Order: sequence, then C-alpha cells, then structure tokens
Amino acid sequence: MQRRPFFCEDRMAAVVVVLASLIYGWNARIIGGLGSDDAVGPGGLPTLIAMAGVGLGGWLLLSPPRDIEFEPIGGRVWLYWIGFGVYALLIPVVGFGISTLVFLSAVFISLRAPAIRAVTIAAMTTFVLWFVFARLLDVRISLIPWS
Amino acid sequence: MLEQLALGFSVALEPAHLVLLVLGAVIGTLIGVLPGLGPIGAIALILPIAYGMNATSLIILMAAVYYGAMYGGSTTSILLNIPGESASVITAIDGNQMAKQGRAGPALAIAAIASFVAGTLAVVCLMLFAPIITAWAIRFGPPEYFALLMFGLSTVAALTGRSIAKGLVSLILGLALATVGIDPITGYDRFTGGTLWLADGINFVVVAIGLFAVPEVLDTVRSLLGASPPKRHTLTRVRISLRDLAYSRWAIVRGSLIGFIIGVLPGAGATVASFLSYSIEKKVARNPHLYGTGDIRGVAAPEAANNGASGGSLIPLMTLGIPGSSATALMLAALLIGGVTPGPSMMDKHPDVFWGLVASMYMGNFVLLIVNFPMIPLWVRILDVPARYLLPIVLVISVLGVYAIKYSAVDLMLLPVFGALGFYMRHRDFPLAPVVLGLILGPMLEKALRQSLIISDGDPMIFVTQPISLTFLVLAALSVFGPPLLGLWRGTPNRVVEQEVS
Repeated sequence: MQRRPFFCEDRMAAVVVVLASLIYGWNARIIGGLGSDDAVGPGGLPTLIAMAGVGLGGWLLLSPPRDIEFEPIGGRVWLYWIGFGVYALLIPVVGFGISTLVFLSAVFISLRAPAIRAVTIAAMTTFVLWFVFARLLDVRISLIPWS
Repeated sequence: MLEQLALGFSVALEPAHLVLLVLGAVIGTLIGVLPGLGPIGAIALILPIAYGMNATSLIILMAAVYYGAMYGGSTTSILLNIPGESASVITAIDGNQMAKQGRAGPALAIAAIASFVAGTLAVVCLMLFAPIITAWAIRFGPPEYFALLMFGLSTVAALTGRSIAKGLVSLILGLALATVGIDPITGYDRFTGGTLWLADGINFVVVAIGLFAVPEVLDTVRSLLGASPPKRHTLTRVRISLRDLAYSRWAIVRGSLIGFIIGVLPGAGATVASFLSYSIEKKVARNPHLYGTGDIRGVAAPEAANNGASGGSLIPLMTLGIPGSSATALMLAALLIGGVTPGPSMMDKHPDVFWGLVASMYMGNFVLLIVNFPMIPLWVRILDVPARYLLPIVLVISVLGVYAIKYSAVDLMLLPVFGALGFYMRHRDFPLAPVVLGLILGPMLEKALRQSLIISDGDPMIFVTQPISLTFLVLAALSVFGPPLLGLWRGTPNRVVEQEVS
C-alpha cells in the first residue's frame, strides 16, 4: 500500500476542527462558561462543545490515515457556487423575476442546453414559481424590482 | 373507550369533514413537496383560514394538512435527497439511495404504508395505554430528557457515517450552530458578532437546504461537466412487492411503537422518534451494514416512527396542554382559536374534538394512502426530467423556501456558505444528517442540561443518580465507545470500527 503523507485530507480537516473549536471555546469563555461562578450560564454548553471539538479533532489527527482516496473537487464547480451566491444575494435587490431568469438561463446554457430552449424553460419556470409562491401561497416576492 | 372512538369516527366521517380531509391531504402534500416548506410552514399557511371555523373542522383540516406535508417532505427526501422538514432527514439516507438504484416507487410506497400502519397502531395505543403512558411520561424530568437526547444524538452520530469520529464532529458542529443567537434564558448575545442579523439564531431549514440541496446540485454540475455524463436514475420498479413488505414489517411495528412512546414525552416529537427508531433498527438488525445503502427498512422505520410520534404527541397536547413539537404547537393554537382549551378535562368536556381528532388523524393516513398511491408513478417521473434542468430549478425552489421563512437577506447569504460546507463535508466523508439534528435538538439539549443543573445546584451527579437518565447515558457511551473498544479487544481497531459503522 502506498504510504500516505502525514497531512492527508483527514488530518487537515482535524487541524481545522481543533482550531475552530479553540476559537469557539475562547468565545464561550468570554461569555462565561463552565468553571465560572455561573456554572449553568449561557457559556456552559458551548464550553462543553468546544472541549468535545478539541478532543474529537485530536482523535481524528491521531487516527491512522485511512486508505480512502478523496476525489479532487474541480475548480469549475466553484464557479457555479459563486454564481449561486450572487443569485441569492441579488434576489432582494433586483427582484425574483430578473435574477431567477438570468440565473437559470445561464446555468442551463452552461450545462450545454440549447440557448433558445434554455431561456424559454427559464422564463416559464420563473413565472410558474412566482405565481405559485406569490399568488397561491402569499409569499412576498416581486417578479420585477419595481412591482 | 370504543364508544368514544365511534363518536370520533362519526364526526370525522361527516361529508363536510371528509371534504376537508381530502383537501387538506392534497394541499399538505403539494406544499410539503416544495423543498423548504414542511408541515410547520404548511399549517402556518393554512392557519389564517382557521378564523371562522369551529374547533372540530379546524383540527381535522390541520391534521390532514400536517400528514400531507409530512408525506410531501418524505417525497423530496427520497427523490431528491432534500429533506423539507426535520423528521425526514433520516428518511433521506436510505430513501435517496433507493431512488438512485431505480427503486423510488417502493420507497415512496413503504413511506405511505408505514405511516398508515403507524397511524393505526397509534390509535390502538391511544385507546389502550393513554392513562398509563401519561403517568409514566410525567416522570421524565430535565435529567431524563438530557440523557435521552444524548443517547439519540450519539447513536445517530456514531451510526450514520463510516467514521465515528467524523459523525461526532458533524454532531458538535450542529450543536455549535444551535448556540448562535440570543440565549433564551439570560438574553445574552452568543456568537452573533455583535450584530442583530443572527440574533434569532440560524434556522434549520437554511442549514438543511444548504447542506443537502446545494451539494446535490454542485455534484450534478460536476458530473455534467465531466467526461462521463451522470448516471440516469433508471426506474426499475414503481410498485412495492410483498417481499419488501414482509422484509420491513418488524421495522414498521418497532418504529410505530418507538414513535408513539417518544411522541408521548412532552417536547420530544417526531424528529427524535425518527432518528431513534433508525438507530435502534440498525442495532437490532442482523445485517446492519445494509443501512445507508438503500435498505427499505431504513425508510420504513423512521416514517413509521414520525407518524407514531404524531399520534403519541396527542396525549401531552390534549391531556396536559403541552405540545410535543412545533406542529402540535400550531394545532394547539388552532384549538385555542376554536375556543377549546386542552387540559386534563378535555376528554370529558370535548370528547367530540378529542376523538374526532384521533379518528381524523387515522382517516388522514387512509386518505393519504388513497390519494398518494396513484400519484407515486407521477412523483417518480420527476426523476425523468433531465438533471441539467431539474436540479437548478429545485435549487431555485429551495431558495424561495428559505426566503419565505422570514424574508431575510442574511438567510440567503448563509445558504451558499452552508452549501460550500456541505459540499466539502460530503466529499470528505463527514455525514451531514448529524449537523441538522444537532442544530434542531441543540436547544432542547441545552435547556434540559441547564434546568438539571439548576435543580441540582450545579452538581452534575444528578445525571447518574436517576435510574432512567443513567440507563440512557450508559447506552449513549456504549454506542460511541463500544465499537472502538471492541476493535481494540479484537486487535484491529481502525478496520473493525470502519466495518462496524459502515
């Protein structure tokens, strides 16, 4: 079996868990955790969680590395994630209609759907969803920004 | 007791009430199928209609909407791996695997059948054991709740992934997220960065959609962009076989009974019931390694349990006025709107409402079975829509579901953040269900912990001096440390642990 490097994926994750738990625990101590006068205060459970996090991170760090090969996460996938993030942020700003139409059209076309079909399906979907949520379920979303 | 049940059925079978039952079941299913909108959202959307209805009609409509939405939530869990409500997080584990293997039809069918059987058993249990169980449930104080929750959470964390340590890391991440926001007891701001944005805490729908829906879409995109196109979910079977039914019969019975008992405990509810039943099924199974790979029992048990819990939760709701879950809290609101105050004398003062509700919940399950069975092939056809169109549309619906909760731009900002986290965790073998369960049950766990320590003046020995809590804590410790210790004893710790939990 090929020897795996010490800082393999699992151990990198373990280091992140330990660091995140220490930061979380530090904040919990500021609130007032276990060991302070107020033993059952708002920092009680967070302190226990932080301690468990450090312990589990240590457990992961010291466990023998498993011979599971993790697939690399492709860079282009993150472009879609960024696109989704921008879409989510734009909904309250430019309205549901425009942002959804643009988002869906862009995703369909980038996934190799014919352009005219992609835009048509995106437009129909946007309208149907707006109708169901805004008209039938009374959810306050605007089709266009000024409506 | 039989006479009172007959009275209930005579109320539920009135033509107007039957119409309400069918309408409620259909509306509930349609709303529940939308990712992000679960039974709570469905009942909340229906509640404005409540004004003007009498208590019996109102509660019958609520029950039908509730069951419909629960079934709808299971549908999205099974077909798309997107749990619309907390009780169907566990259903997604095996249900979606079944769908990926072309067995979405049997998965949807067993969900409906298990719900129906559990509903039937719950009615029988209500008649036979209501007074006994009520007396027992009252003995559950904060230490017992804390221990019960610890047991449930630890077993799920230890059993849902290939690594116990990673399952527990996922769980504590969920518990940590649950501590964000204003502390309900002291009003102290916790982990909000001093802003008001996170003062209300992080809604579980945002986390569930982020962790489950976004990675599902990103994975599909990755497959579509790759050299090999994604494998289409070929539909091999739509109908459930007698063999499947026989195979899952004990899972359904056990799930129903566990669900009913957990449902009786005030505050526990369908979520605790569903994951506890899954854990217990995996423990008692001769072939536990099949769970998580598309085992039909992994759908039957939690679906039966969450329905059984709904029946059981009627006992604290109706006899003590304590709702067992958010959904029953809304039902309580509906009863109050209808001029009925639940309490110990409810069964004597308003037998038509109490037994009408019992009968209508049973009828609701039956109606769901009739309405949804013919619709199963239709739901399953959703999987025939090309992935390049289906999943981005599902993502947009999920975003709408999140936005509709409180029209919060912060929730929309958190969604991609949890999406990235879920994508990373999924590809690094961290199970996602414990994060959501930790987030949902964290506040209950913290409340029970702090109440217990207040009772004992800060002495943690309170958890081990009560026999019920001690039993649950020992079981919790065994579920976490049992497999590694067993591995050490056999001399091959890592491998054995992997096999035990996978």
